[in-house]
Amino acid sequence: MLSVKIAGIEFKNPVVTVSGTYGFGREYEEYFSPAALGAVTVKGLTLLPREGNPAPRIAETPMGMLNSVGLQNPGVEVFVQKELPYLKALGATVIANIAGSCFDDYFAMAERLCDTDVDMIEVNISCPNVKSGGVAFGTDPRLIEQITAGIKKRAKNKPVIMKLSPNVTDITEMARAAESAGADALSLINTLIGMRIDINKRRPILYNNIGGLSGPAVKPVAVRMIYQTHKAVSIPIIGMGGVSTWEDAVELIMAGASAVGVGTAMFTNPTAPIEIIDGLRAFCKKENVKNISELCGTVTANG
Amino acid sequence: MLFIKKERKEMIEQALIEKKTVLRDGLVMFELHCPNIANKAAAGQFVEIKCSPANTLRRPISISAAEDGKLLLGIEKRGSGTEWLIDKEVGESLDVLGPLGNGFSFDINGRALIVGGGIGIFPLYQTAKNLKGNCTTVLAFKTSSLVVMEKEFSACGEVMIATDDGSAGFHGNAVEALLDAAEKESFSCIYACGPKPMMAAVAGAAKKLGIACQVSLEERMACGVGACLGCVCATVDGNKRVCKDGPVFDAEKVVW
Repeated sequence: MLSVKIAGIEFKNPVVTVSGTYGFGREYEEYFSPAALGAVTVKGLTLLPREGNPAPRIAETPMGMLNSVGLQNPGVEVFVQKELPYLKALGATVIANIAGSCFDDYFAMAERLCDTDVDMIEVNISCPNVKSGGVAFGTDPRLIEQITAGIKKRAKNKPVIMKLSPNVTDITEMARAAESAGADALSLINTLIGMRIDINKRRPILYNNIGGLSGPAVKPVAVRMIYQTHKAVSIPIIGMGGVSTWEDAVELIMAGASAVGVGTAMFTNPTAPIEIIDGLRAFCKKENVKNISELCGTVTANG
Repeated sequence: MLFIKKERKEMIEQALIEKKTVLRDGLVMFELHCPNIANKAAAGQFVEIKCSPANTLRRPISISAAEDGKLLLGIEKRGSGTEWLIDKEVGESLDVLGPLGNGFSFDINGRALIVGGGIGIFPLYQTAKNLKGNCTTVLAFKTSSLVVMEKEFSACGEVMIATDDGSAGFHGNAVEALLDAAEKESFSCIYACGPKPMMAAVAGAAKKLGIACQVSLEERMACGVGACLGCVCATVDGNKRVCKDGPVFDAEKVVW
């Protein structure tokens, strides 16, 4: 009922973790097995280990939060040697997320990962916290084409998911650029860019001044962008952005998502992904839906 | 398919508020019935409490004491989450996630000096209870109207109240009180918690005196369990997660 196939990869259900909210699975193993979800997307990897930004990296906002972690991660090699085998031993379907500040970084990581056990490669061209590279790639369709084509060439048979930034004027332009260059799937949305000011200190709360906005506040933007993107491309979409409940997940699926990511919601509710899976199953039963994929993109526009 | 580990270290529990004490305006003490978490909790650990539906994130609150299935928590109003929390009354339930963090280490030989600044005294209470009879506690506040928990800490050992303005007890700040106490007695370990500048100063004094020192840090956090990397502090061994690798750190390892 809940099994879906994304770019040739079987997901036992359409619920995945969102990169950056789940580490490499070890902490949340207290609450659920990585194998219980359709797939787990691990923390964004860079070629070399990164320390990221100084704290404060977190600020709560109305129905949301800002983060400026800055891609702290142990580097792709430690992931391959230490974290990937642990996840695979638990039976997880693994999406490796890669981020870089130049084309060569991305290409080197694609080459490194294509001979490993990762099931899919997700490409972060939209992280707003990296000083060089991050934002620029995701806002320029020509750069999206070049980076997508270059990664596809080196990823061999690993499906490539391009993760799109919402901080653009026309998401469909970016989606079409990625699709035309060979992307097997898209994931959206990454975080919006926001800021909070401490009015007593007269300083931004985040050390990095600005950060990525996530949580329920961004869900309407995610729904809208998934809806527009689904109409513009044929490749599958992994939708994310403010999903806390199974109803939220259904909204994104009806907008056009084939799978749904859960991120910020886990911070208040560590078992949110499991509850969402159960809720989707119950909804399908109630609506006489034989497989959840029947609901993908089924919203009918007005007028 | 879904499994929850058999031997759980952390969990979510609905905790009943059994006792509420208003220590002063904006500062309350809750006694919660929370046996699953309390029975696993160690001195220096904390919990993450769900606040109003409008709060995206839980709030990290130090465990003041964990005994007989009860958690004692001291909560100060700082923002919207804690404002909602301190408004709760006896008979209401809180959604509590924990116990989290690494806790203090008690591998020491000799007397301990406990140094708490302001609301930093709350994470130190269970430590004082653990070291009962073998510790001296400095409770440092800005002024006498802010002094709390003197009786509770006195039941664990010597207490030295210090106020910045001299309106009660020793006239001086936490570090000055520490140095005064260390002149009179020999200590093998210092446990400290308070505003970051105070802890940095305590760390410096401890280093000069050659006394091992553990500090309990805090940082804005999101997941609270070590996954999101939101709450790091800089140490000589790189970034460490305050929620998972801490909140207790060896003072010498922290990059102040």
